[in-house]
Amino acid sequence: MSELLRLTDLRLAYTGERLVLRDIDLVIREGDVTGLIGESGSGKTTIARLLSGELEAESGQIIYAGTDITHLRGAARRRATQGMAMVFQDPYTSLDTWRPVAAQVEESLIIRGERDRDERRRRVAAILRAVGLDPERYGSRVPAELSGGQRQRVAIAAATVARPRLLIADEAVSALDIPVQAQILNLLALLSGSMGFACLFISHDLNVVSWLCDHVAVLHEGEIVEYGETGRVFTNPQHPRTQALVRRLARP
Amino acid sequence: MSSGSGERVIGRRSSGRLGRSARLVAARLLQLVATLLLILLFAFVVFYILPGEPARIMLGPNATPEKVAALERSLGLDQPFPLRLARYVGNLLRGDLGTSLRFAQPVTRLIMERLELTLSLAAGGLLLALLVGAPLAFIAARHPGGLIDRVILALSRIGLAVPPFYLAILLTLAAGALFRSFGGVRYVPPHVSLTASLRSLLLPAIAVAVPRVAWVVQFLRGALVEQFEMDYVRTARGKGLSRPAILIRHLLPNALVPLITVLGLVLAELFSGALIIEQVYNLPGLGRLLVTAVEARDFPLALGIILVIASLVVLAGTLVDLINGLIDPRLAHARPGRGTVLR
Amino acid sequence: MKRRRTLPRGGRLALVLLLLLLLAVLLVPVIDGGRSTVMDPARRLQPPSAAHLFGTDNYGRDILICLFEGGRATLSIAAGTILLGCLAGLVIGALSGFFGGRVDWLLMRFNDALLSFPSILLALLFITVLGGGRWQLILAMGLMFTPSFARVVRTGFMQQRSSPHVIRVQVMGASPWRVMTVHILPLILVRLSSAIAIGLANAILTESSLSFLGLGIPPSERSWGRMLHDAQSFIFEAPWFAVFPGLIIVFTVLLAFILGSALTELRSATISPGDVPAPEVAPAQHPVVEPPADALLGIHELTLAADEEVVHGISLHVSAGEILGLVGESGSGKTMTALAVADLLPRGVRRRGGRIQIAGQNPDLLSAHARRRYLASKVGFCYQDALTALNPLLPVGRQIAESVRLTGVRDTEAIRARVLELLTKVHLAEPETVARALPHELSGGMRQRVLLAMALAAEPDLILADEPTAALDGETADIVLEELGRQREQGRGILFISHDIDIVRRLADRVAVMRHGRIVECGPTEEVLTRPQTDYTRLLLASQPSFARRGLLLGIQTGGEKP
Repeated sequence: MSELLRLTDLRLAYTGERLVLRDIDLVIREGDVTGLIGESGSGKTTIARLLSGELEAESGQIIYAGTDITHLRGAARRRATQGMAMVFQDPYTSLDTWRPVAAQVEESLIIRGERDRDERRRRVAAILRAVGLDPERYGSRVPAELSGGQRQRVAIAAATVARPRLLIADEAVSALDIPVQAQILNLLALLSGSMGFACLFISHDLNVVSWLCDHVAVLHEGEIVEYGETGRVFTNPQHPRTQALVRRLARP
Repeated sequence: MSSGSGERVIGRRSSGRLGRSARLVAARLLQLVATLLLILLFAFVVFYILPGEPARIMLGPNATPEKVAALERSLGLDQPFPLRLARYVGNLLRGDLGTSLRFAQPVTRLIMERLELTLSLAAGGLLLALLVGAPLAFIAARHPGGLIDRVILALSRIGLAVPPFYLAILLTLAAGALFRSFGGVRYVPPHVSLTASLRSLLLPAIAVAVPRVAWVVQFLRGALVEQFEMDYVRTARGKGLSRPAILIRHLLPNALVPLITVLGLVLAELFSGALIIEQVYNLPGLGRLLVTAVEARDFPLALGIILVIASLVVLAGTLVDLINGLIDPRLAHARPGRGTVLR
Repeated sequence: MKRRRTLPRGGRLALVLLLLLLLAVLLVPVIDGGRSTVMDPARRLQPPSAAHLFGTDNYGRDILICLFEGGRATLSIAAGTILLGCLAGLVIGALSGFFGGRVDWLLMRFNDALLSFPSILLALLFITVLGGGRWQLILAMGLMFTPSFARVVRTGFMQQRSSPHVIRVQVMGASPWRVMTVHILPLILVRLSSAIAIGLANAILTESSLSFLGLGIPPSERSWGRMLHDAQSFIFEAPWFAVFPGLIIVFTVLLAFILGSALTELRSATISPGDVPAPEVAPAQHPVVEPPADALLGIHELTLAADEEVVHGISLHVSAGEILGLVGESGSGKTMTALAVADLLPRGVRRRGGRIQIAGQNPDLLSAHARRRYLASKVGFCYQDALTALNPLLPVGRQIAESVRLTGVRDTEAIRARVLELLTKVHLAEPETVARALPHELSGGMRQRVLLAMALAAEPDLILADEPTAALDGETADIVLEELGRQREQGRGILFISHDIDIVRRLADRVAVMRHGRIVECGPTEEVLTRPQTDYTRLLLASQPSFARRGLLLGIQTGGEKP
């Protein structure tokens, strides 16, 4: 598979005092689900915010689909990052409170330039069904009328309806109860399998990452200390940090 | 097991709480000066740039061109704007606010003569707002949503809607009905007789204070209810502390910050309230002076009064920030917040 | 489920009354055709009567009709003021919020300076220059109202701009125009609506004050404040002349305030998270097991209720030297159960039935004061959210000392030593520094350990630990868990609440599974977690993601299938 996203020597400091990210190198190939794991304050979310364009790296490069987007802003960035989508931890704040969910899902298609209204309606209904929400019953509801799990399904539908190439999921399941989390994880696994999008799955939960991801990158104090295939990292961790993580997990 | 050696207690590297306060004082004083300059600049621009010919407006349509030119010279209007501003600031630093056109006396002296009354009225109003508002807020917050709470809230809402001058008229009517001999309010300065002075200011102070009582009640009640619901109060209950101990050691310090904040806002509004109430009761304070100045288009006098009151208000706000920063060190890091009450 | 997008009843009533008033102000003077407002010395200062409901003024005009006429000036000036202030505020706030950085800093400093200025002075400043009159008032007051609107808009902007719902569509490629009009502006308009209503009330008050001072509307025109100004000279002679114009000001302002606060509630209602729908079928309750006679904590058929029942007659026990793990989803009633044991239920949640026995005694039988002392000495509570559970303004050492004092230690030095000992016990380096620190000066992990130290301070028999490791990273979590293990070895009983089955498996001797306020399964940890008896426990276990389950769908109970 070809390379979709490449981070090279990415570096960022807050207030000039503390280095938040140092020399981040990471490659995600098309269709690859990569887990980014680390404790709170390790810089996981900072990487997500660099990709979303909220923050700008001080040095290094972000190459997405062959284009250097590190310092791109405005319309040029929007053109270059076509096919990126994001899912957040709290589905409630990541949806508009006042609008019916079907309209919010449809908006993704409008943004991507789908002009045919009937085609949009058809695809919205299809994706809502795919995430397990009956479009007739739920499409006209506003987020307040859905449960937490249903809201996260809507967020995933809105992110995937336009067939993304890269889905950035920032702690997308960590606020959910275990049975609901299981359903959302199943959904992500099934969708990424059937649609073939790549995913950067950011989480603090090693169990979740080990179940879902093809590759794992371990972030510790702003540095990627280990990267590899999930199986290899879990059976044969190299860095002491990873070893401690895996040991804690494997304890009876 | 490691003992978390990488962990640090944040924010106590160099100085203690006192050092932080000293830095806070310096920062706030600097801010005070900047704010005052800004207000001055603003007032100056409004006074001297907006209209065409201030001197002509002041003297009226029948003035001869020679008279207008003379006044312009005496006001320094023939000079470029930055120079005028600089001269005004220079004079201001020496305590000279110029000369009143209407009274042909130094503005500073006119203000000083009347400052005492306005200050006492504002102070009286503040005291009343605190003494009446705070207990009411505590009573209301004991059982949020209960009958007493709802009655107090409804009353405070009405209190907010009553213009102070209307209240002053109603009070006068009531006093007239109660005491046959009531012949209006006549101000007695405190150095003549302190008790008589207090008595003479009672009605005006009530009229000024009532809407602000409503502020104190609504603000403090909200803060108290919020604090009552806080987890740390539950923690304190779980420790088996008595109610008074929880109230004094845990709740009060946390409720103090909102209380002082609202008192600062109250003080600012009390000044404008006092300006109007002086008119109703014919009290010779800054308010009446300002109304006279505005009516007479006496620019130097009006500007002087407004600057003095603005300084007092900004000073009060700075004091509030300082005290709150001492009570709650978390605020010392945050940016200073002015009033959040909507106009 | 109910949509909460409509105004509260009080707000709707206020809106209707305000519209009626507006209608009357517009129509009544037209209908009257000026008949009642001609000067007529014969009718001078007549008290209220059937012909003149509110009496007549010093020129013999009908006060009621004059009020409707004066309302035109007052209301149009207030409306013009708000329109001007709101538009200017929108522009300034949007510029400030959109550009951020230095533009924002400069605009907001200027804004704050104006805001700290008593509002009426600013208006007087303008009137000195421009003179009185309708348009002058609108200009002066509009400018003085601008800063507060600018602040509302800017705050809305700042919050929305970095909110996930905006980032989400930005990443999708939405243009700035779309982000602004579809995603930011509507929410700001909701905020503005309440600011407008409250601003209207204050504008009416300000206009009245200025006109009352004789500096607002000119004598030839009429507004409510101007009428009060005229009435001043006749207070004792004709009280009605002053009373009615004042009343209508109070009435109108009050309605606008009510409408404003109703609109504020409308705004906050939109950010409250929706409720999780209740289950269609209530899960079965685990059969009641009589607790052993020597149980440290015995809960017998405990029922808790807020608006509706949240815990339905559950029974549990914890023995000395035992850790009972209580697992379940959020909202299943775990925390409420623990709070009921410690007699710390939040306002609005009450015990409807059941018995609680702690160390052989029923605390309900004690007086309120004795119960509080008894529970504080027997039960240590380690709360979930360490930041809010600590008093933000009291050094943590003194907060722990309050619990130490309960054990009867009175000597200041001894208390100090005990506090330091407790802090060392939970592996806090530099205990002296930590003891002097305020909660916000500590990291989350340190605060959680301070809470644990506080729970241990009174040397309780029973420890209630509510998700003590949920917010902690691996290493710190281990410190807390190991300390709890040590406490068990010293013979204390622990109720350990968690949603994390892995941790419960590691730590607990027995497990109780809770769902929708009922205990669905309870037994020795090994037994429940390897041979679960109920569907729900099986689902819970099958939903647990792990490396071993890779390639299998989660939540499927037998075998599973390849995704």
